[in-house]
Amino acid sequence: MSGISRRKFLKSTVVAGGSAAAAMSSTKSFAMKEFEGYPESMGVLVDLTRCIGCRTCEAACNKEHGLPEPELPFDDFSVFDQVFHEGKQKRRTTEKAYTVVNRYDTKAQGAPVYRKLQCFHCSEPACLTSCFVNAYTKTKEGAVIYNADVCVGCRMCMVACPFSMPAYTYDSALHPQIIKCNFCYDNRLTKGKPPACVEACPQEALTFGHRKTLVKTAHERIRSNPKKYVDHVYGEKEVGGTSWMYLSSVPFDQAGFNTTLQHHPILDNTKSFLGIVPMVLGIWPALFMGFHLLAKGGKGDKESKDKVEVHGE
Amino acid sequence: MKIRKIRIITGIILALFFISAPAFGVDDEPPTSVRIDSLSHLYEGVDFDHELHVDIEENCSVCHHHRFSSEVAADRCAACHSECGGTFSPTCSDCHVAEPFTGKHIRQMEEDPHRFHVDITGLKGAYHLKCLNCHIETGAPTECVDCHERTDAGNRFYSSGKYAPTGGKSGGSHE
Amino acid sequence: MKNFIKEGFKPVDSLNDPDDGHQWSLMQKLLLGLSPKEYFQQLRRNPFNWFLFMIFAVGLPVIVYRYINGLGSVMHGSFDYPWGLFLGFGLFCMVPLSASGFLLGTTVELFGQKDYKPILNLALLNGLLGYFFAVVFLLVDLGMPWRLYYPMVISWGTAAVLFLVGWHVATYLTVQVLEVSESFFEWIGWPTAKNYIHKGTIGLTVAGIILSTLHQGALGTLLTYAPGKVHPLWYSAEFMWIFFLCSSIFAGLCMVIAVSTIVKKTMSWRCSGEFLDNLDSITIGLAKGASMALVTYLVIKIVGMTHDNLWAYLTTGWGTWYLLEIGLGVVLPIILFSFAIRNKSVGLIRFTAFLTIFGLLLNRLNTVLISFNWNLYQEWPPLLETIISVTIFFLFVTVYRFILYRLPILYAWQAVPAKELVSVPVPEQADPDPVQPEHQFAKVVTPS
Ligand code: SF4
Ligand code: SF4
Ligand code: SF4
Repeated sequence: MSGISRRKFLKSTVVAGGSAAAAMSSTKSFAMKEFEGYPESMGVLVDLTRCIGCRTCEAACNKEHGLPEPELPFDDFSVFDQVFHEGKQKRRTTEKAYTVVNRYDTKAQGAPVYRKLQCFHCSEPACLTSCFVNAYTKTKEGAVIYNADVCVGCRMCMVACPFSMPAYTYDSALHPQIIKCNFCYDNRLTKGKPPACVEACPQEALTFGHRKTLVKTAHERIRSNPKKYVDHVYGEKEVGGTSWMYLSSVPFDQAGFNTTLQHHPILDNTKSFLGIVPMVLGIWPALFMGFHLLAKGGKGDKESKDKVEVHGE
Repeated sequence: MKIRKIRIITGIILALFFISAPAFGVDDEPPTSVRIDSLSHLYEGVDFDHELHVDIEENCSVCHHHRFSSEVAADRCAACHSECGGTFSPTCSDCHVAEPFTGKHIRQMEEDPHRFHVDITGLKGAYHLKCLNCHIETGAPTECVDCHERTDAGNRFYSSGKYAPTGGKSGGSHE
Repeated sequence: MKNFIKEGFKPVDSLNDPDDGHQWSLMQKLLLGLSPKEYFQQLRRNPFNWFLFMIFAVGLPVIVYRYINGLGSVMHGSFDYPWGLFLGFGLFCMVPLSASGFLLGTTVELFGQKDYKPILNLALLNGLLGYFFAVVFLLVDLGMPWRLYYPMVISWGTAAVLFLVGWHVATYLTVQVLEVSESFFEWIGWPTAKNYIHKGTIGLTVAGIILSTLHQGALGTLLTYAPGKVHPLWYSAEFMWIFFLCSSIFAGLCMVIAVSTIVKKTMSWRCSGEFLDNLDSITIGLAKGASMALVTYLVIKIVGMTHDNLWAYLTTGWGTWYLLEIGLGVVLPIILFSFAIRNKSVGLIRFTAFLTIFGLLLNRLNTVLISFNWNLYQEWPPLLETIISVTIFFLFVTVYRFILYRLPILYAWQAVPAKELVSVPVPEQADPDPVQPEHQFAKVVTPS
């Protein structure tokens, strides 16, 4: 049983309600041996060979979502020189920015590589599966969206996200919440429009489409230009697949990607434990009661009889 | 209110490079100048000096897939399109659509099983990829404002110019 | 307090004043039978109280500050290190250290090892308070603590391991409250309620084992959500839950040894003779259990290392740190324990118990905080976060002591032949432990 089926199964059995479509897709994926993702899922293919680091996408996202004014203008490219934690980290998504572009000066290639970073909208999101109040939803369009109304603020999702994408408004005392790219779900995706960043990118470094198609497109780009691209579509397999995928001309680790991620959903890691839960629930009571009776029975004294009577009650 | 503003801005960005090329004569004479401006909102339109570029690069196929009266030049394309002669319009916007990522367009591309070219960039992408890559390679100017002036709306969009956050410098370059 | 005892004072240990037979009032019980003035006197005389006072004077305002200004004002507010000391220490360390309740519950109630009976209540209380304060830590750490009940009521993330942890900790806390409530009812003087709970002991104990097995393991499983963030040496998708469950066993046992040591040193006036007399042999017994768990733990650690083929990591800096943790917290304790057990050297056992606890703390902090994001950057908890954690820990100590002073945890509630107390249906002494013949009073009074 794949991870998704367990989740869906639990969901569909435990949580009442839900649309017929959701129920259908859940039975479907339940029957599937391997989770193949949502057929209707949209995605974005980020082609790093096209990105020029103009930060237009950052600006578009900022304006689309009415995010706070940036500290520096979006056409100030000195941000690419910013490093944090003794140079160990470049800019990252924050509670004020759903997406950031970073520059990587790689050995493999003379010109720098720019990488846009945002939530990857995983097919089997760790943020979602680790959340104990179900604050996340993977929509059929592929967006992973978050509901601040039920969030308790435990930040498990931040721990679980393999890309460390979710940010948190630590400074809010009364209503802190997770902040991350929502694939422009409400404003655009549901209206048949591409995300703001995709629309704004002058270089069309971001290609929007069905994830399924994008996987083919990505491989086709590699096939028709094998010298230009590294033969890997980042996000096709990583952590069970992501809706946002990347093509690169330099090895992915040189462009700041974690290339050690597992190729199956994060949720799978909990399987070996979740497998024992029913066992413990089923066997422990009988087992330990047995031990107890043995321990008592061996003595055969008065107290043990008392005890046995006690359980009888 | 916010939504409306956003709509306007994004609509405008989208159509930014919608071409309004003058109608070509059948005499196969390239235009001297092309104004690319149909929705110049964040940036002013571009007065593209076609003549200058023809002088620099005489091979049209460097920029165009095809011309009016000549055969398709690139071997790869010719494999299929050699019979087509010069019937195609060289105008970018004929194939590269302004809004490549609308639900409708994505569906159109996916649902036609006979379509071979599915990975076609939109118009804005086509321009920038073509122009900018060449500019980078040849050492021609590459900053945004080298080709088109930023408008007031553009400055607001980039939180730049008079909209710059205090302390920030604007209009930076990649250098 | 010791001074009063020297002067012949006897703290409240029964429902009725042995002198005139009238029932102690609640106030008197709270003051241990001292007059308010005397009570205050002894409070002031104890330097430890001044120490606590200082900690709270600094810490409590910081906690208030945190609620007014948000988490960001006390934590580093890092998006890469979402969890700090509150959970790293408060949840991940307090919970295993509180495994004592279910361990001793099982030993005494289920396996009938009544030798451990004198320490059972302490172990239960240790469990209860540990869990309770883990929840207190959680309340400080949660962004919106007033939504603590959401996973129970509002919205169920049923597939999440944290959901299981949340439910189990909540249920287990209830179980433990019930278990400890026996002592409370005895103290407050509601024997009927006490008897009622007592009948459920076995059920509660079994529930305790199930819940503990699962959520101790689940805490480890939480980290399998973050492969690649936790250093491979501390990570194992398959074994994580076994590591955590197994280490909670020796942690819980060593915690009982440690607490009983402190109790013996600092409040022996409150301990019954039975407790003090048996403590050494109990300690040796607990140490045997702990060393068995330690050996098991070491073995599965090695199995885990082989399974994931992690040997190469040992030569790195992280490897050294890891070996230090295992060496100080597992291997050395095993050696010391076996030596001490053979020589019946209780002092060494006690020292080793502290060492083992240190090793466990190191392990949990390593897993959750120190080795976390090992290939990114390291971050130390800021001052205010540390202050809050220390404050809550000493709040834990204070409450712990407060209860130990009063409830019949370390001593047995005495049955004074009650003059006015005819209405009590069952003789006092029969209830705490009908299974226990050597109970001082059981011999004398149990009607047979
Ligand atoms: S990238 Fe992180 S936040 Fe985004 S869907 Fe995946 S797990 Fe969730
Ligand atoms: S998809 Fe939308 S929310 Fe996400 S980075 Fe792009 S513009 Fe921002
Ligand atoms: S807008 Fe496009 S080209 Fe510019 S930085 Fe973003 S992804 Fe790169």
